[in-house]
Amino acid sequence: MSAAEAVRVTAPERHDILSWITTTDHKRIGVLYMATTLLFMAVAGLLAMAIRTQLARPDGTVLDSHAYNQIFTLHGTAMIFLVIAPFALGLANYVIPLQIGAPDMAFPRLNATSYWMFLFGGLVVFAGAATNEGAASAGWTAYAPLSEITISTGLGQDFWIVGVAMVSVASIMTALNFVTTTFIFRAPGMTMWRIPIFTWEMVATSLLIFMAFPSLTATLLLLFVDRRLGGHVFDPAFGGSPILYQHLFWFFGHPEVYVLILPYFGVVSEVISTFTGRPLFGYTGMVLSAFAIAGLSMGVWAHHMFTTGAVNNPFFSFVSFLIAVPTGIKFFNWICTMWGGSIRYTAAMLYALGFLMNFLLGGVTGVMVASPPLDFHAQDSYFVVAHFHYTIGGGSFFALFAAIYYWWPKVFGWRLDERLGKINFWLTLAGFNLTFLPMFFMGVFGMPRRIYTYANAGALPLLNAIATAGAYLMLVAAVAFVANVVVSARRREPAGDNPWHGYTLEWATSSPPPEHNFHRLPPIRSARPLWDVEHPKKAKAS
Amino acid sequence: MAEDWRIFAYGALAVALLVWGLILYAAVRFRQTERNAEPRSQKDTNTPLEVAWTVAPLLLVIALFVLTAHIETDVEALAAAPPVEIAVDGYRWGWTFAYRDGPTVRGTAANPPEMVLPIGEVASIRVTSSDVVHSFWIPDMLFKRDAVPGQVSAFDLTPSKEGTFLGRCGEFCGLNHALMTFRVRVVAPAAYERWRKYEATQ
Amino acid sequence: MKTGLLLFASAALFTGTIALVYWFVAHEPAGTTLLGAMTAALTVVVCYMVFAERDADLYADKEDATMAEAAGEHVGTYITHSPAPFWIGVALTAVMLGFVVSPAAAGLGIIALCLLGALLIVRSR
Repeated sequence: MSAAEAVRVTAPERHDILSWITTTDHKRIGVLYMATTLLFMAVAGLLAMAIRTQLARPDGTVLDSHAYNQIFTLHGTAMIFLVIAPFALGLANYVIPLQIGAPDMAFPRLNATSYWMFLFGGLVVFAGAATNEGAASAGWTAYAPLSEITISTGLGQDFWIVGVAMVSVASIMTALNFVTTTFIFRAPGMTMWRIPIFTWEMVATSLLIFMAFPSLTATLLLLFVDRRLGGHVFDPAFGGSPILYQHLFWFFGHPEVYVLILPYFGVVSEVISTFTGRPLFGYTGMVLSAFAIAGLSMGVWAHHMFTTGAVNNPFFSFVSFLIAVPTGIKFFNWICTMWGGSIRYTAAMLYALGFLMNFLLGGVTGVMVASPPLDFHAQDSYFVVAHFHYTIGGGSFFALFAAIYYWWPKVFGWRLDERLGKINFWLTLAGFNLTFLPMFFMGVFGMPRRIYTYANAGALPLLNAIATAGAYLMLVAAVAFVANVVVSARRREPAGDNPWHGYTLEWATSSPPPEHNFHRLPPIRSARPLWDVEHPKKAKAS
Repeated sequence: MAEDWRIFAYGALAVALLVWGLILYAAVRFRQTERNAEPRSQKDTNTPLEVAWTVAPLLLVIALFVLTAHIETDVEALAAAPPVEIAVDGYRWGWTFAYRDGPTVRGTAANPPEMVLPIGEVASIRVTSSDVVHSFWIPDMLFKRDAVPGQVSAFDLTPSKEGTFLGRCGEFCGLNHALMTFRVRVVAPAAYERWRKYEATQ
Repeated sequence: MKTGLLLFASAALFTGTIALVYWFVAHEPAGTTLLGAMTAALTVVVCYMVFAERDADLYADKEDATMAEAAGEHVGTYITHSPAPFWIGVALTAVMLGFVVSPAAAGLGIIALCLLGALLIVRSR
């Protein structure tokens, strides 16, 4: 039987709303995920604009303390749980089966269930804003005893617990799908050491999700027991411990930030490799470093607790320093991929380059705060805010847009406008750095995190004004992106199968791919099947 | 600790400038032009290089760790018989300073309390909280320690500069977290004694 | 598919080592328990994969496999749609919110979930 007959499509593809609600196709689920996260991103972004508007001037009166606290809580919760992580999961949902030559994910119904749980969980978190005392307002970290029922008396915190728990379970289910699919559903000849680097990074991410998210779910359950079921797990008056909460939360919380970055390391690797025309340098090193980062990240959680005086600082400091090594390996591999290449500067490649420049600053400042004596000043200040925005914002967020510009033609069959894309990029780069670079200095000068206002003294008013200006520039950049989508949708310039001249399997099928992904697969003899098709080895017997 | 900051900040800057330089050089030098239409080679491994850039950073971070551990040991050292001992209690939203041989200073957000310390002498601070987690932070001294309910955490402060320094809460604690400030006034030992004796008569 | 076994085995070994080191360095029970539990969970997976490896014979792992030799008879059609996931999502949301807001909603949600589960089992026969 020929390869074309091996996959039989039984019905024409439907496009009505009901078909989207009942879909189990990984491509549609991926699109649903990514579109939903972009909507959450718009909301979380507007929340950030509210924060920056309030902090533009000292003694600001735009928001009162209660409103401000809800806003930064929702901003952080949304960006972490409802934007950056699920976008990567949605992207991987779309891309992994295509990259390994599979017709779909291993568990299609589970896949769809994960999406709906994620969507409803996110809506539940925000629904807290409609309750009596408003949405959760204890920060995305929800430290006990602040989040206990005696202090956070409203239903909003419970809605937060329920919503985040749903997203947490959904993520675990998705990770299960990814690992099983990657292990079992690869096409003939696609050995594990030939799969694209993005898929490898998703395997590492999935492993991290398995190891970390159960701790989050347990922590949320315990917090709920304390709040509504008469528990005192974290209540010191009854022998409970707030420090225990921090251990449990950060045991999840730190691997979570690597869940937020590893997929985007994969994106950047794919984009740089394609647009330089060279294979990824040090593929094996990239795979090993991904797992080194994942493994080490399980052992650093209490570096978020250096200032408690209740943990063994040297242990966590040492392992935190160690993580810099595999991260550095990745950076050198990326540079060597570019070295000797012929780099085409599309919007995707520009965003990947922006990622490299931004994440580097996030990374070295991370090494700084890995030193406890330094962290004694920086912890809970704007220095840390700047650090994690440079890694998640300057890093993941930039790579997110690189992924959008890179895979958009494959998903929709038409391209995004390159000129508008470059304008979008430069506005984002300028706005981002203008917003977050001053924050390092704000932190050094003693500005704490999570404050709704500050006094008119010292350099803080000027630095905050600059940061707010940068935020408004990022808003303009966002508008440019939306304009790009609208303009390009009108034009619908057909993209073809392989608009970027990539060499991985997703570029070997049509844009968009047919229902079960491939009518015909090229032979798979290396990590770059399409390169082999273009450069057949002459001396090979059939 | 200022030394810790300087070493790490300059080190981080040096590494960042080096790597930024490499990135930007590659980005410009190898962009696609008529002369550079195709990549020069498809070589994708270089084992000696890969080993080098694994070992060198490893040695660097180990050195940084040893330095850090040394500084931290100094910072966290506790004196045996400190002349000044203060029990600090954080609550929503103010601070209370209870001196072993002195007054108990209470403050609120509207009326921040003042901690008076003698310059050059060890002050042992024991910090806790009455409700949620707060943090006792003196930015000018580059130091904070969390105030956790149910635990008492001890550290030593040895001020080296006279003056009045702002103190803030360094852990989000609800509505008035932003307003939960205090002051630390460092004076000559004689002035400290005078203040102590005066407070005893109040 | 030895790679998968190697992956989980390395992870279990690594976390086990970290758990031991952490206990002897820090004597902190919460973190040690978490690391130990993780090691245990990973070990369970490793045990499974040892047996899975023995029977593994994927065309994907053969370096020179061709599509033709892997093609076989039509054994079933991959599903493309199902109403169950959406309704499972709705029912689970009702259950979770029910814990917070209304036991009646939780009860309804649980009943809905049971019905959906039964439906799925019946339809897959």
